[in-house]
Amino acid sequence: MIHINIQNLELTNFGSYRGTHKFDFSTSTGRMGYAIFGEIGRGKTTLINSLLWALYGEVETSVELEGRIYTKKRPIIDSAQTQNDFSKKWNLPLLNFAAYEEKDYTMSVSIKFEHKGSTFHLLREAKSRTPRPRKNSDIAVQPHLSIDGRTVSAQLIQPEIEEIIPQKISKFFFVEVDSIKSYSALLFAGESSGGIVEDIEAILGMPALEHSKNDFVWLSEYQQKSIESIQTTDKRNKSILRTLEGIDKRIDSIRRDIDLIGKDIDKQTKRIEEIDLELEEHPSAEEQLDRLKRAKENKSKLETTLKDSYDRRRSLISKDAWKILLQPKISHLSSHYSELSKKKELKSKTLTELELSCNHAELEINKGGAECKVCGNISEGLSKKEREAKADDLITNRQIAVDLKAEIELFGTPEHDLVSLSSFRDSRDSSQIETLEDLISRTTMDLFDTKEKIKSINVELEKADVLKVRELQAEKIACIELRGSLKDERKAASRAESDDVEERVKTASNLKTDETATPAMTKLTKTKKIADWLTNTFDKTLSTYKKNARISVEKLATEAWLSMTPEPEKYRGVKINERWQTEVLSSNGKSLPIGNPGHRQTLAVCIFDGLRKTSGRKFPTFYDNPGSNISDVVLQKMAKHFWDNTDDQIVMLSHGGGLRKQNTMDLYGNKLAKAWELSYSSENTTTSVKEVIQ
Amino acid sequence: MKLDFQVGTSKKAHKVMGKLAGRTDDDKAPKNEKAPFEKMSDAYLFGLVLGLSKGQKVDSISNRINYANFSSIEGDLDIYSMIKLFGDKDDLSDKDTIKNAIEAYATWGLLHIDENYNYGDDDYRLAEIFTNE
Repeated sequence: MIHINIQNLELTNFGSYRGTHKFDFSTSTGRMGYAIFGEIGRGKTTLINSLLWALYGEVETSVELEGRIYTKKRPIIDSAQTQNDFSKKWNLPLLNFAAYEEKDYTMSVSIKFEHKGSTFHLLREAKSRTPRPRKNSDIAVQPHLSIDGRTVSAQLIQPEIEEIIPQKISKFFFVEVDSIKSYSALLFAGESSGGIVEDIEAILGMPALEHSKNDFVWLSEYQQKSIESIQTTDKRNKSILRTLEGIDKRIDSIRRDIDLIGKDIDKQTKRIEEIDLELEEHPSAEEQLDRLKRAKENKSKLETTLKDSYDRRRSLISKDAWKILLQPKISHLSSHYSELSKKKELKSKTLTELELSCNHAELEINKGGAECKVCGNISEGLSKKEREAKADDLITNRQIAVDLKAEIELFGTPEHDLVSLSSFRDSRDSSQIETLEDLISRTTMDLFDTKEKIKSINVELEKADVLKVRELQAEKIACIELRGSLKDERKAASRAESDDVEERVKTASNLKTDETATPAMTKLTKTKKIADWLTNTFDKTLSTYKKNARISVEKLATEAWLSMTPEPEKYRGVKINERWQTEVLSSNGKSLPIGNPGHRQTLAVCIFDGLRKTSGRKFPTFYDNPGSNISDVVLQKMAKHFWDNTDDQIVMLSHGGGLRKQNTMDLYGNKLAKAWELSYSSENTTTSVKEVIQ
Repeated sequence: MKLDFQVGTSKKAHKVMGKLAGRTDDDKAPKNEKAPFEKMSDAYLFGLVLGLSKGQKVDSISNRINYANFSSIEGDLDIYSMIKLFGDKDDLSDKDTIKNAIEAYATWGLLHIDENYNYGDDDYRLAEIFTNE
């Protein structure tokens, strides 16, 4: 039985955690339930990733694109960090961004846990090899492990960890919503996926049992050969021995083939690992190509905008824009001509009046006592002296009228000029042209920047060697495909080998034994019989174990399902067949369709729970936001299921939409050992950790 | 009054007029898409009105180049009235003075645009020309 309890976890500059943050899991309450609350992006998944990184030195991340799940390893640093461009990045670097910016390149995770009565202290740290690291290979990663204060040598650290919790089965303990998604899809897809059965058998410890069985098969075969070497002396066995010899040759040949295929598989695996390492050295090539494509698209858009703006401006300027130039002068001249016009009118009026007065005086001088034709006055006639005086005035006034006329002439025709001016009036202004030229200036600047960006990407691309990366990726795909077909070939060869071995056993049973050969023969036959019995017993035991394990998982998953589902009376339970395909049975025993993604994820969580409990491994289990499709009611019931009476550490991480802090603390606070809340620090978007007081 | 005579401008202003209409030294090269005017005649008219509106004309035209018959530039407009309203009194004394005034205003306008509103690479920004005194 493997039983582990985490005492504390310490993260430094890992993901969203800037600086050092501690989670102290130790408690004197005896409770094993833990809750970590935080909105999306506050560092919950990062916490799980930090544990995985400390244990195995790598963290994978998945993304679902167009219905397919893609998985990539996360680098410690990468070009996105150096270029400050995280667009279209989903496998983000592990080193905290702010730490990188502030040239603090140290990242570490430390876990202290109890196991077999000893205290294990595992520390994995990443340090820069260069003053300004730019790529992952610039970072050195070093694990340290001590057991009860005794240091474990570097080469034994990973085997020690693998013994405690093999990486292959870690997914059953560090449950991320993505892995649940992929598992829920596989479990219910009706496909007999080798991958999932392999993982399930790994957590149940079946590979170890298979190895033991194979040892006994080998022992039996060895004894058989020894017996046969004695039987060769018997002439009666001649023809059977010849047949056996033929079968043996076939078996040997098949085994050689299997061996060679195995070597080829190893070769392909090694090459895939080498390619992965080489690709790590060129992490940004594909992203650079992507950036280049986007920059070129942007350039093309900007060029179109620019051309369009220039065309529109040209059309505006060429069409009567000159009129705008005249408007200020038109305003000025209009007032001037209006004034002149008024003055001219006034002078003309004065002139008319003066001319009338002159005419009247003339009549008075010439016709004394006569009726004036203009004003109608009847003069009584003027004396000579009076007429002389009037004549003098008339002469003066006539001169004034001449001068006034000349003055009026000088005014010209302002009223006509005003009419002419109005034909050049125009209401438009230059604002449209101004707006277009602003747009032209901004677009020109943007275009310049984009061209510069394209240049720099091209320089980066030259360094990145895109062709090489594409070749490597193509080679990797070819290697994976070849490895797959080699595995199929090996399976077929193994089947042929089993058939031949069976045939051989049958044929060998016909061999006759010379009684004189006894003591040695008796001993060998006895040993072989024991080996055969052990093989058969192991076979039966393994088969029984598999069946019992499946029944146990089925039972535990049923318990989990019935405790989590809101209407347990509707279900009889969960059924798992020999190929680990799962179905849910209704209360009357009929298979029910489980089409809802939330139901599928809940069911996957139940199977995980059954597998973990059946495996007997008591390792802390982390549930990160268990199922984005799972309803609040089910999440609450799930928390109750996990936190009620558990003797394993169960940590549930929850965002605001699932297990809400207040509600969860009200309901389960008395079952929890500890709870924390993750939030953003006040200054930036790095994680801040606060223990929730119950 | 329609003005029917050949007008021109200085060699330098003629070149500016070409640039403003997107013409390059190489006749086979495509038009400069940044040019602010469709045609050279649009640029000539704009230069003329600019000179008139600012009351500015060049004293003399060096290396004069004949450009076009003014009727093709004037179109339906009444440039005579425009000069009468906005120009100097002496501009309209006779046919020659009218022609000379037109060329002097247009030449000043074209050279003024090139000196003040060419942002380099034959890329003109003209919005400010409408607001600057």
